[in-house]
Amino acid sequence: MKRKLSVVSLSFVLILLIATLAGCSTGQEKTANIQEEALNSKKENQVVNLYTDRHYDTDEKLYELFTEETGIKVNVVKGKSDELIERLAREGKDTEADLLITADAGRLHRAKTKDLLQPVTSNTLTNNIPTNLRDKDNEWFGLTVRGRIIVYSKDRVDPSELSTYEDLVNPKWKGKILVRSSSNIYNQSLLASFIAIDGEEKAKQWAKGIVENMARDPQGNDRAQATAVVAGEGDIAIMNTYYIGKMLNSSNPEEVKVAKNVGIFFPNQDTTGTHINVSGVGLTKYAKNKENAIKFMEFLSSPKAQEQFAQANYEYPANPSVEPSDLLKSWGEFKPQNINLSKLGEFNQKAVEIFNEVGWK
Amino acid sequence: MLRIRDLKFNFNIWSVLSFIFISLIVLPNLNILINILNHPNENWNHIKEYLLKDYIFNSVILVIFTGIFTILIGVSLSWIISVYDFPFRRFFKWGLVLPLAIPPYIAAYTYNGLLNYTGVIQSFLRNNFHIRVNQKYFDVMSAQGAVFIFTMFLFPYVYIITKSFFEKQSASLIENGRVLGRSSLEIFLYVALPISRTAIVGGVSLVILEVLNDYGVVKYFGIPTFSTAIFKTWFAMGDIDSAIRLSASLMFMIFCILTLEKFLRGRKQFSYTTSKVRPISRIELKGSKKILAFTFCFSIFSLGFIIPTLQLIHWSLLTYRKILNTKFLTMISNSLIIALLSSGIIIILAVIIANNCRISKGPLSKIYSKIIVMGYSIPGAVIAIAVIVFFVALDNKLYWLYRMINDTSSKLVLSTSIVMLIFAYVIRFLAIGYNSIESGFEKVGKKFFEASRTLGMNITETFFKVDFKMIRHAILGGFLLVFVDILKELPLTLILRPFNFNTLATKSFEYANDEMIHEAAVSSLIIIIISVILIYFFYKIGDKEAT
Amino acid sequence: MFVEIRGLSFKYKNSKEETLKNFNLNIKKGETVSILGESGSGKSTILRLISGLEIPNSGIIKINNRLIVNDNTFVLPEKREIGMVFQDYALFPHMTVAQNIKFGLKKLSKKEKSKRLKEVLELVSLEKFEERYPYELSGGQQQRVALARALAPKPSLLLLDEPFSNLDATLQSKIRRELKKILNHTGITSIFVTHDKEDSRAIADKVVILKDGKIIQTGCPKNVLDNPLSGYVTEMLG
Repeated sequence: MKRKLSVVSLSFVLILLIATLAGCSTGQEKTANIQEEALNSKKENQVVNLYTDRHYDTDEKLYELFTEETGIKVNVVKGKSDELIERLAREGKDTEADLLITADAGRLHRAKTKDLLQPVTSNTLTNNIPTNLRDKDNEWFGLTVRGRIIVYSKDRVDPSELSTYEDLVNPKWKGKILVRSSSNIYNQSLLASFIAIDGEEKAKQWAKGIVENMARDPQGNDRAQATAVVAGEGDIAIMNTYYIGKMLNSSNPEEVKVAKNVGIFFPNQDTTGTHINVSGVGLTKYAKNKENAIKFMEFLSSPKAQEQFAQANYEYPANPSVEPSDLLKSWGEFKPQNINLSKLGEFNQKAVEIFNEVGWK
Repeated sequence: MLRIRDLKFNFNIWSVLSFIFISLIVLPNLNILINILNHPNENWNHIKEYLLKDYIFNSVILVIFTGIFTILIGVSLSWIISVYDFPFRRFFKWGLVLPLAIPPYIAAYTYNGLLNYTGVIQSFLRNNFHIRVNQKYFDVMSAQGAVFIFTMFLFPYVYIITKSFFEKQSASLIENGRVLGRSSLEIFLYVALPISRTAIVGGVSLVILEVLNDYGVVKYFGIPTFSTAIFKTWFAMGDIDSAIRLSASLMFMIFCILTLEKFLRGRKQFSYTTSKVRPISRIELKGSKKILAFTFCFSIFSLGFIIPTLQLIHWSLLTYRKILNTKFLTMISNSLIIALLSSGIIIILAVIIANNCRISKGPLSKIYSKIIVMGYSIPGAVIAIAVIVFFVALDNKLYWLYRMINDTSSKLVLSTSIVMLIFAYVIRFLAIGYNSIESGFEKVGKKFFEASRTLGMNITETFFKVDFKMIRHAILGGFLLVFVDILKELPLTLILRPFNFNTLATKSFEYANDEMIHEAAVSSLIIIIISVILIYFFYKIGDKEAT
Repeated sequence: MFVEIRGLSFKYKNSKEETLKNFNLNIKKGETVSILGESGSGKSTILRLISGLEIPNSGIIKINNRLIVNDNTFVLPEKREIGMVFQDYALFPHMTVAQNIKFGLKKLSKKEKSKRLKEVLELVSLEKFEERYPYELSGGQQQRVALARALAPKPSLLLLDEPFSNLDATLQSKIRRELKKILNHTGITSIFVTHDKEDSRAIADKVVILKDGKIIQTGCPKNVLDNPLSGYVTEMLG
């Protein structure tokens, strides 16, 4: 018995050792791979390295398509945008990343102000992407567009009662509004857009009014808000358009029902327009594969890629020559806010402070 | 005070290695923590005014209630399992560790998915009986819900440590109690609890650190806690100085808790009272007590494992066709290799440092264990940044070497490899391995070590011939805990991974973060299955050893 | 002098007072010395200092003219060639009796090991217990294994920490006699620590009475135990 046990413990140590050795060699292989790739990139321009916070499986098919067409391999690190930006900043001029993709214009703007991006001169890009959806110095370009809209209970709310974001602070909505936490970037960008349009004071009044009208303390994600509307916890919710698309295509039939039971309303159509945001891409300041990177950016803005890139997430393509999907078309056209999206980044911190001050959890 | 003979006593390969490892851990963090010395900026006032009070309050509430409930559940389960015999006891013995295999944030998504309006329960009631329930009764997304999630999925930390203590504790203590005519409950309260205090405190401090460091559950549930404040300050306000200041306050709080614990424990250390350790002879339960014990274990096991797993299986069945592909094989092997490697390294370091700490009489070794626990208390993102800065600097220093090997080498070699990630895991999880090894050493005591020394064996020989054999179960246990933790680890893996390096945990995160929890089920389920297999084998080996 | 201890002082980290204050002791070759004192008197600490398990704050220890501790010297315990029998024996639970005893014989060949094992087992009359594990032995047997293990490497000095405290009282006089016989038979120099004067009387050639880390009286057992010098000694001896 005892002997057997020492055999067990011995083999355990052995396995560890072997694993360590094997692991070291994989580690080296990995580094070797990257070195090789770097080598290749110098010789044959073969890679582009991407930091992204988009995680859709369909994106990978696009990367493959790009590789097929150009022979350039796409290497990816997926993460959260804030942390990727921080990593980029800390890596400084040695970074291996060529491109940064984030799902929010404010974040791209932050990368720009931290001096992590560089301007791109490309007629293809400036032709494909409208001015308000890209940085004024062309340091980043929006790729897909989503609106932050109002959804309402088809049973209890008559859409004619709805008009603007500003109207949501009306006491008639007391205890009826559902919205997620202010730690979420979509809310921060929404408020930032109001600061840009109406000024700080009005924006703060608005945030305060919403807090007073909330049906419950903010919890859950955007989908949870729509669900809560149908469950009767509140009458209206603020959420991004694409979540409705995702819910309609959910593998859970109950979620599909929820999505079918809420109405979609684009606010501020007669005034300042519906708040929009983009996911977009920027070229890093110290990109080692600059040419490849620009090729890839152009590819992503091209009609062929745009359709798939936008559809992956039920978003509107940024390239106006590309039609949105049938689902999105069925919601009708809408008038977006007419501000440069850089503003979302500029006023992000102010927005967070306002949220803290008015107690929007 | 430094005398040559002290040096001769304390200077050996173990102390040298320990010093090197600890320095490596301290160095990168020091670089970040030095920021505390900077003068507070104007943001700091805003944070103090609007964030601190509520956020600390919420954190404290979560910590206190989770602490109490994990102790209640963990200690009572470990007592029942160690002292009584009832149907399925052998299964529950390891089954009750399984909740640890489910990452709390996945559990949070799962329970919400189960209970909310579109979940199985409500839609079943609604579609079959037209019952519409009040959402309030089905809402887990609250502070109470968070306490429930943390308790159900973290209590095994307390359970594992106290159980192994009860089992190894000389049976005579408990039998003496019985002979003295005490009831089982009295023995539990007056004998078992006091002597196992160290073990309980050890387990619950891991729970507390996990709760304080959690970001996934509280973010999803919308409960602002201290860690929310750190992330909000850092990422939303872009103010790294204040964020680090907050982290430092968090670490200070944790330091206070740990010191308080040491103080409460006093100088009491319980190790084998005699060298003769016999297993407890268990009492067979009869009648209603038997049913009660079984029901208790089964309910906890259901809540902490069966229910969420079934839900995940259900979701996996809905989505696996869409997402399962050959890339999953690469992901599984990535997850396994990196977890195996890192836990191996962590355990080796833990053994070296723990052995040095118990042998050495120098002042340094006292600080080591504090530093190690600190590593566990630093928020993942802060470690990540510290490690990046450290490795970029290191790569710059080593560039000449890379050039020698390959003259077109890029500058960032180590920091674009898994070495950086493993290094970060070591900082983060050394405490878990160390705790386990340390308690193993504590149980064995020093006398076997001393006997071996007087018989002519040096420290290293003694370790391999005597200590290693006596603590190997603790080593295996520590390895397992670390392995499972790394398998499900998120923030570090996300930030520090090399290009194209995906693991099961990052895949789960990507789906869950996109609010595609059904799609996240498959990878979560694989994490759970791997952990279950490991835990099962660990306990099989433990059982063999006991007989 | 075979063992020479001069000016030995020691303080545990956590305690305020010195456990041992300026302790001096000389032992001749082949002598059996007993250190007699109440618990907390510092008697076990002396053994830990001699064996190298603790470092003294000051003082010198020499054994057989070899300096093992002074301000600049510290010989590691495994290099001191001192045998020790621990109070609770500290037999390695995962090893058989034979493995325990052979543990300290790492320099010997396999054949020599077996030979030495036989010798010491015979010495302690445990020939048939080779393959037993410690938990399968009685307390008295465990003690003899511990003794055999300590003697196996032929140490120059044997230390025994409360050798009788864990044993059945009715067996004590028998075991004392046995121990005395074994010590005489090997002719080894030894120090044992006890709180029971009867132990000292039965086995020791010389008694040292210790209180609060200081020697109160020393001499041959007959003189010390029958003519106590101070009130404390009288009281302690009961």
